[in-house]
Amino acid sequence: MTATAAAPRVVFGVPAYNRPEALARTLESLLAQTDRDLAVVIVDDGPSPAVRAIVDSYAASDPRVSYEANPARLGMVANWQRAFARSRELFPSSPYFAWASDHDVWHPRWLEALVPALDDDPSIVMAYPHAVRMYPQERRRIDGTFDTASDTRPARRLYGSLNGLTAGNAIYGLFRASALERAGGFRAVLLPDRLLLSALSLLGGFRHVPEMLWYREASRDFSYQRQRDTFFAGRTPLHTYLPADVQHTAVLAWTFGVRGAGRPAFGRLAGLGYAAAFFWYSLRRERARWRMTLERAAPAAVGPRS
Amino acid sequence: MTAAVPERWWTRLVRPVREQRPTGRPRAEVRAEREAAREQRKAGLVARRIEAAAEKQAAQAERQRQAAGVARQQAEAQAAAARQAMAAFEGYVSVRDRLLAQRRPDDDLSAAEHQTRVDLDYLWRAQPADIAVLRHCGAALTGVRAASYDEPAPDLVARLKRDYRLLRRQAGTELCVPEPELLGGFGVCWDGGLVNEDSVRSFGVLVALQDAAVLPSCRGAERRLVWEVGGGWGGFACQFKTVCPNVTYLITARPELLLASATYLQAAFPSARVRVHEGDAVATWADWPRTDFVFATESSLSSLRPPAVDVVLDVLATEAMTPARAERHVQYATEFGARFVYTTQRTSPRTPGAAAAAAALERGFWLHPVPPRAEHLPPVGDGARPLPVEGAAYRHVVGWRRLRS
Repeated sequence: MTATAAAPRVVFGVPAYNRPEALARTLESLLAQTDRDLAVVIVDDGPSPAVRAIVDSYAASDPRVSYEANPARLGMVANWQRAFARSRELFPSSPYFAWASDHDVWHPRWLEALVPALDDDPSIVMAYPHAVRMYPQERRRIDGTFDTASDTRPARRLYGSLNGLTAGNAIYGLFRASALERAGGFRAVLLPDRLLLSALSLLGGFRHVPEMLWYREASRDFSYQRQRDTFFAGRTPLHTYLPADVQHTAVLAWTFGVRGAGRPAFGRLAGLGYAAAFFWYSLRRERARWRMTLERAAPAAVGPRS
Repeated sequence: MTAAVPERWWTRLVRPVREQRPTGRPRAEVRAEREAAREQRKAGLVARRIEAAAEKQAAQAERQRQAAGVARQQAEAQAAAARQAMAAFEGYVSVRDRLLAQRRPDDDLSAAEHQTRVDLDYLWRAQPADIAVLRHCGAALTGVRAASYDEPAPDLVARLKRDYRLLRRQAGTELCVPEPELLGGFGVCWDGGLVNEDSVRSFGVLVALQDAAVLPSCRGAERRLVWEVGGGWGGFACQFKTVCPNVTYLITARPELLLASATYLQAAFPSARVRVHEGDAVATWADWPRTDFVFATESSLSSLRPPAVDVVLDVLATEAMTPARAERHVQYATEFGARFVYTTQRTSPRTPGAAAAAAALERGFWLHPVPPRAEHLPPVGDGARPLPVEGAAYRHVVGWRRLRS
């Protein structure tokens, strides 16, 4: 597929890695969207004949599917970056973009419900729905609501996204592609989804659509070490051993304070201020988290709340 | 100078009287005055009595007027019910005549369906009085009896109240459609409407469809085609069509079931445009977006050929069928291009029909159980036997079409 293809409104970037047993289900859920104006760009970080066969079988009957295999393993973060970059190469004028994992399931009405949220309000940079967690024998709803669509102050949106947003779910929302580019996309840090959403929160509002439209496979427990192992191919970058908040603050300071990616909404100085605010909010959040952990472990040692 | 008149001995006796009498006034005048006052009092008394009598009469007249009003309202309600029943009967006759021609000897019925057919056989010879209480035939299908609601048992009321309030709290009132007081509608009267086990179950299904993000697609501006398999006595269709008016609602069933649901729904939606499929698909679907209900017998499915179906609903219908027929329905759902299917699956051991339908659905659709809404429910009933929660015995499953089976 070349860049001259007619631009669909939405591009799904699928960073695939070795899940052939689930890929068909995911692809079908994307291709069965009731809003058919879309393309699916698969970037395979662990090419195998099984994955290739599945993709080819769909691509043969549906020209909206394209596939690219990485010549060498990039690791998860770089593969996500590549999925976005490849989507922009192929469809530079598509206004909306979404990452799609190779194992989760998208409800057929996902686009039908989310696209209008971005169409209706140019200040919205991301829309996402309620989710369902898929376990082998049951389904559980994830229906907490977080919405900053009506908040015009970047600092408040930043604070809200740090404290009220589940980044692991929201990162699979529908993004305004231009905002993603300004925010710098996925970065080679720990918790890159949280960093990206924090950066985006400075650029616009998040719209929560209260319908259960995304089915997420139950994942293993979170750990920083697992992230270091899976996010990066080869040697793990040294800076990932710093606290995640420090990594994120540095990236935000660079993006908004030095590069000035927040313009015209806010300048470099304000960008530095927001990076500092991010650090401060993070410290407060970590303090609260530690306090809660300690309270659970040894209530008497912590003493009453001030 | 005059000499003082000596006081007579009797003057002491008359002094009190003389002191009371106005000095210098003649006795006759005083008497007349007193007489006039007495007359005035008498006149006042009479006037008050007349007024009281008039008030009494007015109150009596008002009472009579009110009683007449109530009687008139009752008479009007009865007359309306009678008119409704007559209209329903006319609708029944028209549908019956068209369905009679489509009755076929059933050789592939499950035991449950045989029983239902026997129970509903009277409908083919129904009189206006039978149609006036048509809703009671639902007992043969869902087991919910009108008589249970004449003086409902405390357990029943408590369970209904808990389940009904829970659904209302979770989903709001938007999807809550009370049972209409129509053709013998019954239930406990809450929030200005009738509530019974059937209506609460249908409410639960609507909430599940909403949670599965299927219902919103039927509530938009674009006309949708919804196919309910079986259709029961028409209760769920009535609720669905009320919540989603912009749909064309297709019901396919055996003729006796269709007779019940078509009669009921025509009465519930008197201005609805209704079609009965009689083998000619072109005639059935001509101008279908302006048709409200389409009824087709199960045996005519092969000639139905509807435009693309958006949602297929199976509210405990395929579980009563034989496996072959249940599978055939799923096959038709696929052939008709259904985007979504909804099915209610019992958590208890499945019937052969339900198992066959589930297996066939799995082949044609990506199925997802609708996650239940987590909520702590207070126990109802005595401690030893807590009453079951509506919906706990089954789960709601929604699927969307596989691109490749």
